Amino acid sequence: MNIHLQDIYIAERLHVSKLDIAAGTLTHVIGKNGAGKSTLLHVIAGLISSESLHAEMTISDIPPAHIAAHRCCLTQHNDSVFGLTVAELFRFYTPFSIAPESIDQVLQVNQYQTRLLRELSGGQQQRVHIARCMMQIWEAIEQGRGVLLFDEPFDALDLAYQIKWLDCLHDLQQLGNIIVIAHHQLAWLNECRDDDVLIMQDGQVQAHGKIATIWQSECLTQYFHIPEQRIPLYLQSSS
Amino acid sequence: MPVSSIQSAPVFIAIAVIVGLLGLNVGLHSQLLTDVVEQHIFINLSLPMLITAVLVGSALAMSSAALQVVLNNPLADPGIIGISSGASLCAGIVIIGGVLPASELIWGLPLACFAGALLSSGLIYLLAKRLALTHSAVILAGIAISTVCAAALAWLYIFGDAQATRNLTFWLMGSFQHASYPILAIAGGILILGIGALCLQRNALNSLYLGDINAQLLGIEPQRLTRVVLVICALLVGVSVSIAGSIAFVGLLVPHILRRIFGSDNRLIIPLSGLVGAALMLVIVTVNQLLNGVDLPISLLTASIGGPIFVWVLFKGQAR
Repeated sequence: MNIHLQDIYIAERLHVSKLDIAAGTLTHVIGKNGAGKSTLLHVIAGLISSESLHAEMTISDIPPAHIAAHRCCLTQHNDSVFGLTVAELFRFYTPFSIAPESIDQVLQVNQYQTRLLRELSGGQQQRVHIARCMMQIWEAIEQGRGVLLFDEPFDALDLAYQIKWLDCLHDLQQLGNIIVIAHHQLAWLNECRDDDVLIMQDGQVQAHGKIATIWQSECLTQYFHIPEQRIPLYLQSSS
Repeated sequence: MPVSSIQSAPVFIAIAVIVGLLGLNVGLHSQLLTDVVEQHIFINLSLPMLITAVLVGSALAMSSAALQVVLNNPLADPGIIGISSGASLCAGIVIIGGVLPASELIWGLPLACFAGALLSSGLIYLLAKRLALTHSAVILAGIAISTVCAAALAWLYIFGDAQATRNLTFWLMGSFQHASYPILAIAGGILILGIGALCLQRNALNSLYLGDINAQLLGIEPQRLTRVVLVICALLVGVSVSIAGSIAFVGLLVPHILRRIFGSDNRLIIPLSGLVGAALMLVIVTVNQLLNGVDLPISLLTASIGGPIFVWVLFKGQAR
């Protein structure tokens, strides 16, 4: 299983001539606001119709009819004007009405079952939505045949949950799942040197590879236009 | 999806209430078994009225329940998206304009209303399509079309004679008095088909709560689903308005209260809305029967009974 993008062109938003993401990888997609991170995720998630793409996005081995059981995507806005309980949300969007043990251990969402989603705090809601996305394809994830896409998932999560959840994702990555996270928590790049990084700028992929070989604090100047003397201490590489 | 998680008790209770109300209405004709005149009245006047009430009540409540989800607006009802406005305008033209002789009204009025409902739905759809078919576009287009229709109707009122305007007012507030078998044979058929078609969508509707993108991620085509539901609702509401006039408030009231009590699962809410809408209309027919001779417009009763209940539920319920 791998993701293959070829000649993706969306006017003024995204231009990717070739991109391959292999099984068993965790990729951090980073870049400035409007660099095309979300659009890239939406293309991989199949949310942009293939006619407007002029090109192809394929996930090998998985027939298109079964794709919804293998691919999940956490988008940035997930509000409902209706008063849904957490249990209802799970029932409507996943095959479960409560989170499986191994998800609940990490995200602790089953305690909110009877609560209304909109009465939870921002971070609690985010945990519920992350759990919902993973539950949607949980069977595939356990077989190591899942594609997990997250758009700014760390927002509103406290550090303890960020650590627990990333540990969990690294375990799932070992099973062979493909995990792609677009985010702005650049400090994680210094922590997860074995993960992949994909740097985007103006809708194009500028660099893609192992964090250990690509990522250094000069990238902040080059791709984020941060003056060298203004790079915060916690993002300066130790070398 | 675990089917067992759906509560079935409320469905059975609603069915029991409907059967009870039907029985009560039969009981009101005490000499039904012996008196030939009484039998004639029951079969040719009361029975079509009861059938119309059941079908129209469930069609209105069910289509509102579906529209609320599809338009992502808990306050949507057929009135708000303007489907009934075209029907009302056509009724005005027929009744006040005197287009048809009085003897033809029994056929002409429903047909004209149906044409009006389809026309206004079509216009709303075209207008909304130009606005890229977003949820708010459908509602905006509906408000625009109903405003135009309401204005035209108001002009008709100014030029109409006293009796005709009174007739129109009465019709606009809804009535089951025009129920008859020939009309039911056609309208009833369409309503039953529409109700069935809407029931088939109840599972897919659950995937729309978090917006189109999340539905698409589940492999559902949200735009297609929205279009299908809008067309079915236009048909259901158009036919309902044609045979029973414009009935206010049921559409908003029933699904809204049911969601507060039973949650948001459309697999329960869609069919249950239909049953409760039917029961509510039967209550109104029964009240009208008991009032012997004073025939009150339906909207007067739905608003008088439903309004206070709605206020009470809003006060009492947790913010759902």
